[in-house]
Amino acid sequence: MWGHRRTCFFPRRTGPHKQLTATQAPGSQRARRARGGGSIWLCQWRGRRKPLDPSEQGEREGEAPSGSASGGGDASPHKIVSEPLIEINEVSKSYRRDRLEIPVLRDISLTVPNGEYLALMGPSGSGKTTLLNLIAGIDQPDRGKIRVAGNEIGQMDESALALWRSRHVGFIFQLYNLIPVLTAFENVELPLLLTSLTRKQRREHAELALRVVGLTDRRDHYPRQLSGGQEQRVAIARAIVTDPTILVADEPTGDLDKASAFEILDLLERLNTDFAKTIVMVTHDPRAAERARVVRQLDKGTLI
Amino acid sequence: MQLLHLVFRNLFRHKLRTVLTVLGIAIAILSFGMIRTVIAMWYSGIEASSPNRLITRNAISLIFPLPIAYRNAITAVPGVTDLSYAQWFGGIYIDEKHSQFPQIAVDGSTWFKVAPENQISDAELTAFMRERNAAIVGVQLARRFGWKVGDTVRMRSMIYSGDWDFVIRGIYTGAKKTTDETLFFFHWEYLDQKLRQLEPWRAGHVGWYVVKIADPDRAAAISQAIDARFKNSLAETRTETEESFIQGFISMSDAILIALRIVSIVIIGVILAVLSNTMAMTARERLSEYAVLKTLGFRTRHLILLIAGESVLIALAGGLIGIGLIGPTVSGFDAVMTSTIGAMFPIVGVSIATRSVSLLMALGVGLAAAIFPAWRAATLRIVNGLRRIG
Repeated sequence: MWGHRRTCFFPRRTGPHKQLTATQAPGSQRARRARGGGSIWLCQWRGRRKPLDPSEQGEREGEAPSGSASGGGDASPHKIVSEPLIEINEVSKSYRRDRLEIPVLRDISLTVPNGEYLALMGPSGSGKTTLLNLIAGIDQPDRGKIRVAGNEIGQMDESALALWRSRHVGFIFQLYNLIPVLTAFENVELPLLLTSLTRKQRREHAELALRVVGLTDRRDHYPRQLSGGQEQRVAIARAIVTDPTILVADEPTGDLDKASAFEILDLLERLNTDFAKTIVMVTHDPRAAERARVVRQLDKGTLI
Repeated sequence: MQLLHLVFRNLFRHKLRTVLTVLGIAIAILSFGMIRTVIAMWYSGIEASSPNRLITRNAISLIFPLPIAYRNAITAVPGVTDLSYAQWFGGIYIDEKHSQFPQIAVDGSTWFKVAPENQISDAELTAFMRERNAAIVGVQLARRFGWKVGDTVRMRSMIYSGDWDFVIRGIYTGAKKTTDETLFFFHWEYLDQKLRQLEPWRAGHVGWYVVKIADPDRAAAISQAIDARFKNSLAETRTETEESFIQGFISMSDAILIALRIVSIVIIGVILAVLSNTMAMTARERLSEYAVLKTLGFRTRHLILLIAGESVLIALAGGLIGIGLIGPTVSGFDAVMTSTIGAMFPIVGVSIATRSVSLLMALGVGLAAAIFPAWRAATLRIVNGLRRIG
């Protein structure tokens, strides 16, 4: 479907996925990060695809290990080893309700390094979901620049954004948003239909993703046959199956009981620590936020 | 799994709704196909007409006869290769309900030369020619009444007095599918001789002449030449191609046919509304799913494929069921009509054209019904679809 193949979806070298189990110990993550590239359970694109824009070239080379989300436009104009994964510069967004224009975000600036686990908190209406949507490329800012994974996504048209999202972003929704007529396996496989992977490869990747979230035995179950926690784990498997650059989660535990919420938070934490996935999570829940390494507060459209 | 797989899964998400919609489309396509078939059967005579045959009749009306004496004058017109003649009999067999088939007095020696599509064996034709009150009937007519060669058929006439006995000496078959196999032919000589006895002032006349010409391109010129011969006579003629002659009959029913055509279009409009409603409901229910799919990277064309695929599959399923039912329903309709008011149509059957048009209509309805939901999905903003504004 695309003009490229994910030739390195499974790394040729002894990749981490070969040792991957649902209960994998997190011990090796620092070593993996130290190797550079924020080594991930499913291999990254490794720059073999045609970049969406020239600035994307070398994005993977520039992947850096740790770092914290920081306010302000501290991004360097040059490509450096520690180039941030997400750069937001003076972004504003407002919505129109009838004749009223309601400002949601005001001059937000934020930098998120690769491998970060960022929690966005704030009261209802503070603009945290809007900010998440902007980072994920499902909404466009009125003003300001958003650069994610080396791409200026604020400038992209709808089609290019769709392509970009399919490559770079994994979504986890509060209400799971699984397709009810598809089994868990088929839901996980869904994003892979947009790739040029063979049926066999798709099956392998979907099974691996389900194994990561510990739902191999539920692969043929429909969403209605799963508990809320299990549905959310399927949603996470769907989010990671394409090996995206970042995971965005909008209240991932908001619809779950305490035990299920803990399972999901454990899983997200493991994706960040073991597999160096960059995660941006919106939450109301302080217990969820404390799992993140960086917590930023939004209030009335402003980062505080 | 492919996208088509998701289309099929979506198709059976609301089984009852899908089944009812398919059923509605099937009934509508069946009605559409039936109407088209009835109209086609009405026009089947035109298809069976021959371009190298002209019909000469009385210029005033078909009910006024022409003198038999015109025979030689018409034959003498340059371009005419053969000539035969016929007279409407208007017979009643058993009762009026059973009499819905044409009985025609023909010149036996020439009729089957000018109308070779009525195929009969030489032996049967010889037997027919040997007997004054012999008759030749179409195979469908014989089948309908269980007639066989040697049977005697007694009829009365709405035009001529007395009882008329005919002996069936042959059964013809049609050379083409469009050939009428429900005709009843007997000797014009028999009619004329009997008229000379009973109503002598009506003898010596024919209803129309069938003129065979060598070159269909000269039909107009030959027609004019024939009519010119009888200009200012007591019985002026009107000569036209066989197609125009039959068309003249059909035009008497034009209003009905136009009404039927309008109804068939209305039916298509109704199923379009039904399917559009179903698809619009479907799209409304799945807006959040479309938003999720868009979020995952599915583009507008994928959503259009999902929606149009589902719509077309529903329409095609209904269409194919409807088309499959047209044949049996038309046969049943014909049987009911035949048993109640008599045979209406000489040729009963569903043409490939009717099936094709019905299928195209179903396909068109499927695509058209997908336009609005597809547009809605295409223009859907993801954030609106997810209904989450933080």
